[in-house]
Amino acid sequence: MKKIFEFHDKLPCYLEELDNGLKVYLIPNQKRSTASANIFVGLGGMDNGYYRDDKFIKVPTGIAHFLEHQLFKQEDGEDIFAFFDRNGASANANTSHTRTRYYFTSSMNFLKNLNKLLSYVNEPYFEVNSVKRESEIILEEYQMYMDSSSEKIFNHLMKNVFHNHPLKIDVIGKKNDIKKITADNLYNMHNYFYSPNNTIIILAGNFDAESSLELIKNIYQNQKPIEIKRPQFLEPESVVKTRAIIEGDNKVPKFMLFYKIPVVKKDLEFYKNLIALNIYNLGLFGKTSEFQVENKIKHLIKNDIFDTWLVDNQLLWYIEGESSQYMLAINKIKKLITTRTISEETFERMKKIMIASYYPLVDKNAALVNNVYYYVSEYGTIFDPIAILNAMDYQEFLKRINTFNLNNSSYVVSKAKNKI
Amino acid sequence: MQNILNTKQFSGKIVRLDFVIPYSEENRAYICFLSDLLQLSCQKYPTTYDLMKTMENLYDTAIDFKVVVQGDNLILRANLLYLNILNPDEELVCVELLKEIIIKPNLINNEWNKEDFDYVKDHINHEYKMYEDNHKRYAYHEALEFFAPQTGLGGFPYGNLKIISEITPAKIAEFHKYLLANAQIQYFGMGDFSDNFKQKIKSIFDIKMKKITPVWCNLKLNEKFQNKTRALKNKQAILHLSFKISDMTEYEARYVSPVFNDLFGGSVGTGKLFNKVREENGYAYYVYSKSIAFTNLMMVVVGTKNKSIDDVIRLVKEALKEIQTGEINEEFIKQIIEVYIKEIDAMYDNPKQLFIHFIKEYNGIDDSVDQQKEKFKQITKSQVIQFAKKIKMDAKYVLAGED
Repeated sequence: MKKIFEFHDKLPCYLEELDNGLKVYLIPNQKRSTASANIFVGLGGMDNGYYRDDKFIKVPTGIAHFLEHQLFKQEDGEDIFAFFDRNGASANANTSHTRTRYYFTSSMNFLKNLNKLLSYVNEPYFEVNSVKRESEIILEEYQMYMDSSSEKIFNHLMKNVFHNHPLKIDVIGKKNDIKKITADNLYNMHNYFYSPNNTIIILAGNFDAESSLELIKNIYQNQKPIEIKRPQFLEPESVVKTRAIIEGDNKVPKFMLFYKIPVVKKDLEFYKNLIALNIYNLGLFGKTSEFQVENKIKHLIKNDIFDTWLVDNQLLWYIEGESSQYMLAINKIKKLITTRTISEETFERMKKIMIASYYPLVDKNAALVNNVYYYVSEYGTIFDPIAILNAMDYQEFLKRINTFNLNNSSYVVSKAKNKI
Repeated sequence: MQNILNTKQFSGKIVRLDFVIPYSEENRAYICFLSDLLQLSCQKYPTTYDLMKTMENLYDTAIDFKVVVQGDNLILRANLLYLNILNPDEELVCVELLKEIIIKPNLINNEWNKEDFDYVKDHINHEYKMYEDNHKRYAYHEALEFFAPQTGLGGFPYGNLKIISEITPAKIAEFHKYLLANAQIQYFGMGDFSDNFKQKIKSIFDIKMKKITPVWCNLKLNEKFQNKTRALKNKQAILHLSFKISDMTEYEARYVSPVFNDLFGGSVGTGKLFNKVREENGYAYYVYSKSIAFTNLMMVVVGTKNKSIDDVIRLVKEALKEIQTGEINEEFIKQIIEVYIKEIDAMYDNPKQLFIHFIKEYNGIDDSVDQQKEKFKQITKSQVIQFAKKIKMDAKYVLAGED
């Protein structure tokens, strides 16, 4: 167990790497009353097939998410949620484009709960009727998402941004595909992707590191690594479509704008560039930005959100909001983004905001876990954002924000039929 | 009892000011309007830019306002969230800023400044236009308004639109004066405070603290089953069922009710509804039951198909009947209780929950941690059955789906 990082209040993070490639990160903290255990598997909505004898076998879309649902079903009929409930834990799982996460938080019986988490994720049982019933439940979930205008805009935009990248596939899958998923599909995907070298375990909070690690080793040490291959594709820097207007039932038009930025290499330099981009984003659209000062008087845009999203080898800078003058708002935003500058005084203030945002991380196990997973999955190591921010000066900031290609953007507007 | 909770558990500190007035429809609309206005400026920092810049320079110190309904009370809640790690010398500046914002608003000739007023009015109008857009949220609010009319629990979150439309810059300034003069005020703090700081904060607020306990909202059982259906363009139907609990004791509300809800409509695993509606029949992705705080109302919420609604209601009735007739495992109840007891300890990891408990205990709304544990331990199967027998379904609200 090697100490690899120390958070600002001297909280250590350890790493144990097994010979088969499983990585276990441990952040023991006796100040906490609870502990959180998390298994991250590198299988997400963008994975829709596996390799057998160098041949790619395609499976229906939405399989990673389906698998996440179905893993909770046990051969002996035991209710996994009830087990965790009985043992003082609250458990759940979720699937993103790139990974599936299984986790629990408990204030008691940590080892017992950890054992259960490790076993149910590693011992799949997919029964035909249960799979069929699960597809009914997932179709209801699908329907719930389809009733959300934000979800519809997002899914549409991903398709307009990516030519070939599987990020354009919705995590939940296509409606018709969900019905086609079989127990065999699930077993094959599980066998391929749920391998130790494609898994990261993160434990945080009040737990015993030695005994937890021993338990993890007992379950994983005999598992063999599998070389995970994914189909190659060429993704152009351009977007598929720069604009689209879709029909929605929202009373005020809603829009989402993406800047598509290819990522060549994820390393410390890129991370520093990204920090600079996030400062720039805050400076342009934050509470004290000129944009917001003007917005307050002109009522241009409401409920706006602006952030960056690093996913696979793509960086998306997104801005969303509600506006009846959406073209004015989008043009204004696009014009501002091309200025590539904020004042030095604004830069220093935005730095303070970002530094402050990292301090409360250590207060919550869940926030720490997310943070560690972000760094180790994207960069393979943990960076210290507070030190990087403190060291960054204005000139360096200006240099870094100029490294990004901001030529490729796309937006989708959702508005009522009679207003299209 | 102290109103400052000293703890070194967390990085930040919270200072909270609560202004409590009696609930009325008019008060609700005004207090919601005021809540949005207060965070935009004050006399010392007359523009939003000035105020926000000041807070950003204090390492993104945040002041947020929230309106809460507790029984017959309406509360304007102001939270100051800040970090002392980065600016220990500026702690008092942060607290004084909170006071400035609340006590000295940016008025011009006894009227609220027009720029902020227009902004909030436009924002509320916008929120009203968008109210139906989030179907789940809309249906939940409207169902609550249907089940518990004019209690402030449901309906458009900013209150009655007609009352809002009649608010003027002069009227809202008057209301602000009324609030400061008539509200019962409490302040609380949580964090690693020095004695010196505690003294100073006391002098800044200069408030005589006393307990504020809301009167519960006791809703009458509808004599005839009530039914309301609304149709928007959502594909999935959202069903809400209203249950009233007669003669609920305080002990039942605090302890038996959460255990019952876990058994009945716990959102995962243990709940009968989860198993019957979702796992065994695949009628829904989400189904849960929930008690509405400070009332005798319990709700069941399900996202399902139009054609499955009657089957879902049949299963809900069946699940309730099973609990009423004792078809529950005593061992299971013990396990749920053990989880609740452990969750009380887990509260110490969650700054928000810990602070809420601290304030509730101060006001006598929550028992102490030790008392809570003891009372959970006393819960028996027969208490859960007795509680279930007091529950009657009396209304449904459906946001119909297209399928």
